Amino acid sequence: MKGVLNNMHAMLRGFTCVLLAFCIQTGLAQDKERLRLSTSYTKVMDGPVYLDFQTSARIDKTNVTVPDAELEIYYEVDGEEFPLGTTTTGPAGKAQFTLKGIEAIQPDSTGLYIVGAAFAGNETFRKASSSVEFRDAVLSAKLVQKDSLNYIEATLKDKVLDSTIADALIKVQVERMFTPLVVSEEFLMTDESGSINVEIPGDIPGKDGNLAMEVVIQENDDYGTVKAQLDAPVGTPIVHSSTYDQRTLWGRSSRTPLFILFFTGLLVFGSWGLIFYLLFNIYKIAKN
Amino acid sequence: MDDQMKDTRRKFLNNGWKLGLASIVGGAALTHLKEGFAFESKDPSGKTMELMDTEGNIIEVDPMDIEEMDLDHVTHNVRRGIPGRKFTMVVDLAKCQNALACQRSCNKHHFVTGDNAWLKVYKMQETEDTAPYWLPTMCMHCDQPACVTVCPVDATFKREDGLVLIDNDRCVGCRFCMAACPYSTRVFNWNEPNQEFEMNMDMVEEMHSPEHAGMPSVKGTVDKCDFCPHQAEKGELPHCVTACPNGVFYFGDKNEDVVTNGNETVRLSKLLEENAGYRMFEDLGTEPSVYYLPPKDRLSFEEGLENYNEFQSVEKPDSTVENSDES
Amino acid sequence: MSKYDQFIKDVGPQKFSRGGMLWMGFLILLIAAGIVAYIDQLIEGQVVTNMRDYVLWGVYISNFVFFVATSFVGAIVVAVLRLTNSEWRRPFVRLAEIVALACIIMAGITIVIDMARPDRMLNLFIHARLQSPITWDVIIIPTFIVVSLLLLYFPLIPDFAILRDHYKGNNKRLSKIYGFFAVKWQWTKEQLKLKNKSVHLLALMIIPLGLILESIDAYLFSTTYRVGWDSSNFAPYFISGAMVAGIGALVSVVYIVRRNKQLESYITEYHFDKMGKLFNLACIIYLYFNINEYLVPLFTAKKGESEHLETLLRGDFAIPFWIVTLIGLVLPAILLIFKRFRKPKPMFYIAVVVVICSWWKRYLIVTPTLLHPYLPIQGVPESWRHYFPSLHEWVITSATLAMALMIITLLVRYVPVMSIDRLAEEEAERVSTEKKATI
Repeated sequence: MKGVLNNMHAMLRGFTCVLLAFCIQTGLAQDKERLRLSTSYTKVMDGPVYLDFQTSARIDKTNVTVPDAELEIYYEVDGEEFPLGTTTTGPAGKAQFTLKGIEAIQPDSTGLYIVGAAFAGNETFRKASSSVEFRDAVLSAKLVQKDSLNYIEATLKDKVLDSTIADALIKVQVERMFTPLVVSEEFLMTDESGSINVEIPGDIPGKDGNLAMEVVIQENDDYGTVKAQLDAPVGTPIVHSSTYDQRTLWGRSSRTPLFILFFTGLLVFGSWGLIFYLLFNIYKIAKN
Repeated sequence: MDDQMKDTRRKFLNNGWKLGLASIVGGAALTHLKEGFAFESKDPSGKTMELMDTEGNIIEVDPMDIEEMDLDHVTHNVRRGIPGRKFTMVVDLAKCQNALACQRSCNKHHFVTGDNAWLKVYKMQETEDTAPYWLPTMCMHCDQPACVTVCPVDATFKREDGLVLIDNDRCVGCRFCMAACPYSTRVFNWNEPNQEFEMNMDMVEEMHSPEHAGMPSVKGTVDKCDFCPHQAEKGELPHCVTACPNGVFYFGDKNEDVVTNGNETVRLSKLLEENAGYRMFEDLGTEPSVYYLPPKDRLSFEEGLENYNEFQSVEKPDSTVENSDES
Repeated sequence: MSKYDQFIKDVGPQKFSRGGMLWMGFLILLIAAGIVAYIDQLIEGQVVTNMRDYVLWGVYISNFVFFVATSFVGAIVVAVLRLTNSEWRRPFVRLAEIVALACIIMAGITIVIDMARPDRMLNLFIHARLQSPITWDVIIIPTFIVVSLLLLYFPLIPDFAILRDHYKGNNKRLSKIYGFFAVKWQWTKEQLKLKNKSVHLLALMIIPLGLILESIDAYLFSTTYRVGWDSSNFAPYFISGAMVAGIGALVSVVYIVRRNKQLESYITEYHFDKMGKLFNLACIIYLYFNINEYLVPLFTAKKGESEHLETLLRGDFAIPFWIVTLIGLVLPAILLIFKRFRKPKPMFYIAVVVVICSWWKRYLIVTPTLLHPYLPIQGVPESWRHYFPSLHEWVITSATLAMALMIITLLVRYVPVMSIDRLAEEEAERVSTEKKATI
């Protein structure tokens, strides 16, 4: 009987210790803030692959971004993680990691890629991680001219399966200074053969008549963001006009209108010429 | 590393005003030769300054190696402007509800501490019978600017990219430009502006340029909206455009015929045509760069009255309304 | 030479009486206070004035405009009357030039006081933009100062020579100083020719320069879009206003100097009568321009214009406007028609009233317009909707007026207030014609 009681006592003590330890640990962990990390993947056809990371946290009931968070980036194949590099979030809590191409990472046997980032945690924040899964897609786009109208034709294919992808949200846009101008209709999707055919309006201005165009699959569930870039020299040439080098009233000092130069010159040289003549007269009077 | 820096510095100093690139500590900071500044009384002895490079690392740099534009390589002449661009803004009066987020953001990012904001939202009503509306105004960056015409010292100037900026190192404080502007958009620093910067004053002085007005403001000179060229250089929109919760401000390059309010990106010509865009005081012949879309089918006016303060446009730290003279 | 002695005693330099010393002391006090206030303005910034972003120009500018206006009197009295051969101008010319010079120098100083960054004054020359009316001002004011100075100086040369000779015996130092300025004048034929040619040239020069000066002053306002300023009428309006203010200032100064030095026999009632007629003409012309400026726009009553006129004719500024117009312009224009009021004493009172009202008139040109911008005044403290000069502004402005009076006082003290040389010549002519008559 005593033995059983002793055992129960020990078990109870042991259990309490474990419980206490657990509570303390979670309690301590509760003191650190939770860091939210999001990952997104962008592939540029015949170009680099971008991995964009955004941190955020909810502190004092407001959402803030978290700068200076060190992230370790990796890719995962069949459960095994391979490091790719590290980056640190900048002042806006953003970080971008660039890969030369998708060849830098390996997919699994089905052609699925997994890429992610891990945050080891610091004094303020608990550790966090985030990953994204995607398949490699090939987006081919070309400029077609038919009946004096210009079109962008594009086709989306799965690289590994070599099959076309239908019903993917796609848009065609022209590069502009701040945000691109979308020229395709809203909610355009690839048809059964994974293609689209979008007319380019004939009156879009471009530098030297060239339009830097982009066909974009935006944040597709399976394929991430894929961009195909091409030049379409079918824009109207930009003629930049400015009065900067002309002689105007609002021009800089060296661009004074001629009539002002003339009249002020007349005033200055005329009157001061005479003034010096008069001063010379004083000198002549004195010399006399 | 130090010896290497001393050598390159000597070489640059000897060669006059050559531009040069060097990378320091893995980051990408530029070292330029300060033309004219070489004669200023900055001592060449090992004094260093703390700067942040583009990757967020703190580096120590000798002040003599730093020119005004520090982090990004400015390729254009500050007086001539960003080549090939013609900046234009469109203000959709149908959407404005006097939220004043634009004013707060502008005041914050330009360290406006006086009693007059650069971006003001007016409560307008032309006649008793016509409806009242909210009218945000800022510098119109006119193509025939009256203010530039009358400046005697070329302190305010019109650029090729359409912007009208102020060189507050040259301004003599005659206020003729303020008298000439029909949009009442210029403000004056009647006394020492008590601005508080989040960085030290040395760094502020290094970044000092007409392209970032208010950094710092100078006593006895004029200030106004600059269309945020310091943002445009980074490919970002002016602060008022991004701050507005109602998408009132559209901004873009007129040459590209596209403007955006951060959410919608539209053809400028189409926007103006479909909404009967116009410019303020067109008949004065100033050729402003800001278009307005009339307040048709607009959201309620009354809601904006909550925010309306007839006598204040800049929030002060102690939030008291300035109603009396300073002197 | 004894023929000069009487003239030297009458119109020549005299030591300050006790009254004169008190007067100088008073002026020096005002100037000292102004300097202190200005230093404070430099340190604190122009926040010590009551100018703010809407009323961005205040009493400093209206004071400046006043000085530019009064400096026109030299061009009229010395030059225009000379070219029209109006002999009656003679007693006035020296004092007219003294007043003109003092005022244009003070105009130059006053405009610098309005600059918020006078430490950058050189920028006005190094980076000058010729398109700006202020640059035109920067050109014309120094030019006009120099020309006014020369127009005062050339006729003074013989007088300096006379004083040099007069003091040769008993006051060597004074003789040397006057001698220096007399540049070895000995009435030789060459010297006389040079002087006469120069004075004639200066008289020809100062008229267009004076007209340009007043016009540029007007352009500071009429090259803007502001309601009340954007008027094609402004330049001739300012020119005629300058005639009124200038002659008013001249008559005030002449009367005081005449009383002080007992020059009743030199500057007679006849002279006042003639000057009164010129004064009357100036007032009538200015009245005409006022009607064009303030009454004619009522016919179209454009919104901005009518608001502005409403303020002046019936609103906030109505009382000062009507006082300045009726008492400062209409009344003098009417009274001076009558010979009774062209006598010295009445003219003096009229002139003083005209000068004071001229000063306030320019205040009414500058301030009300600035309170009516195109967009409503919102988002700024309520006090910014009004303007009245602050203590600093009053002290500094009074100091500039005191400084102008001091320059005039010092010139009257050290320089003959009428041309002794000319007086002696006229005396000699009179004597010889008398002699001829008796023969």
